[in-house]
Amino acid sequence: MANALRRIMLSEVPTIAIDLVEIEVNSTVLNDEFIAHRLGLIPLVSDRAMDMRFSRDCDACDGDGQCVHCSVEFQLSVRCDEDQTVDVTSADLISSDPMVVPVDVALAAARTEGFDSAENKGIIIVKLRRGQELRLRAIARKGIGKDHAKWSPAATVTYMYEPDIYINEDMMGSLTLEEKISWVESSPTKVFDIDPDTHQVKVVDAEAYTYDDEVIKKAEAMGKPGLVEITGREDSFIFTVESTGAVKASQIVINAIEVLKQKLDAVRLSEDTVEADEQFGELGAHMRGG
Amino acid sequence: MEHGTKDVKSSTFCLTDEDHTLANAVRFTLNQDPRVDFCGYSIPHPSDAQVNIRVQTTGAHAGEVLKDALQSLTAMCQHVRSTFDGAVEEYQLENPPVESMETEECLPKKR
Amino acid sequence: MDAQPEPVSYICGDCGMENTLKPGDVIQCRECGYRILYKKRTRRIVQYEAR
Repeated sequence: MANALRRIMLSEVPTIAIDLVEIEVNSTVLNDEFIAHRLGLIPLVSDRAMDMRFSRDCDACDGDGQCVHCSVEFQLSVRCDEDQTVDVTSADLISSDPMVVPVDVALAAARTEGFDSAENKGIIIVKLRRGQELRLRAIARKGIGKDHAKWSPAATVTYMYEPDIYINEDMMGSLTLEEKISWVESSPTKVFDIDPDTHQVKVVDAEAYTYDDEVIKKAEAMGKPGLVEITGREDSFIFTVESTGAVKASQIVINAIEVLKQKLDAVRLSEDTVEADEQFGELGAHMRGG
Repeated sequence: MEHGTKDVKSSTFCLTDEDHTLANAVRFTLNQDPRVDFCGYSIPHPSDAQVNIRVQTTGAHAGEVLKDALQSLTAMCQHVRSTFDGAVEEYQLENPPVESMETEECLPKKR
Repeated sequence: MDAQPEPVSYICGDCGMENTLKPGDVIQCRECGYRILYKKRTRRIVQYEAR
């Protein structure tokens, strides 16, 4: 189930991304499809995505995917009339829905003060020289990472077993302070520390342990095998979720659970209507053949 | 979604538009059910969005056993959800949010 | 269906002069005789999938 959640967070939690671009004028150095592709990759605030419809099963519009239930429209129109180069950025995209804007724009709006606008002026789409112009309309739609990675809400998702660290206190007590320090420092991550008063070795951050076995090897090298025992708890996982900004990391987890539930329900319900469709023959053939 | 054979205690279920994400989790839960003799899944061809889940039981109706597995997975989802919500609430009580948008970015990076 | 062949304008690759050509015309700039002509961008809206 942990892996199912990880896979869902990466590829099945929906977000909103630009999916169709209608270019009116483009005299920039980048060609149309290149710009369209760049627009698609801009992360958009997707808190609305869970309640939006996929354009393919939206009945309000006849499959063209351009209604309020399944799409958000963006306009962009920038022209350079000066000698300095002008940057066209995600901040130039005008959204039809204030809830759905590029994530960096939302972030800039959230921190009004102490925000260095010169440092962070948005995601650059293209740069314009004098006389160049870019004018377009873009349709953003709901989608999932399985369809195209631009819809993936997570940059990385990892999980590991929660470590159970047991220090053999008797054996640890037989070490000198120098030995303790050198053992604590043998861990590449800061998992253990020494109490400055009692000189006792303590676990300060069990989650920092990377199952690298370095401390175990060190203990063996010191002639103290069994000084520490570390096992993975198979009923507890630590997830690390890094969001693209489209959906908050904590919300990705919640949405992933929701998606998994929907999947289970879908299978359970279709279970009652056992229909022998064309795939049945395929399955039969596969079973006979395999 | 279809059955494979006439025998109620062993069936192959074919799920379209699903992959390892669902099948592996279902297989895992099915194998924890004492009524299950054998359970495995396969993806006949990587290009087809289709998985086959084979269930052989010690006598129970395979379809019912599968349904129970799905039910218990849903319960697991619910459990994870409530545990997670509880943990988030507890964390936010201990660390009141500074500014709604930025709380997450300001969390100390552990790894 | 049988619309009369519409003249299409091209830009000379050498002198930048605008030329209008019909099907069957010799591809050559009327001003400087250069034989590489570039078609102008359509004024119509073009659609792309952002993938």
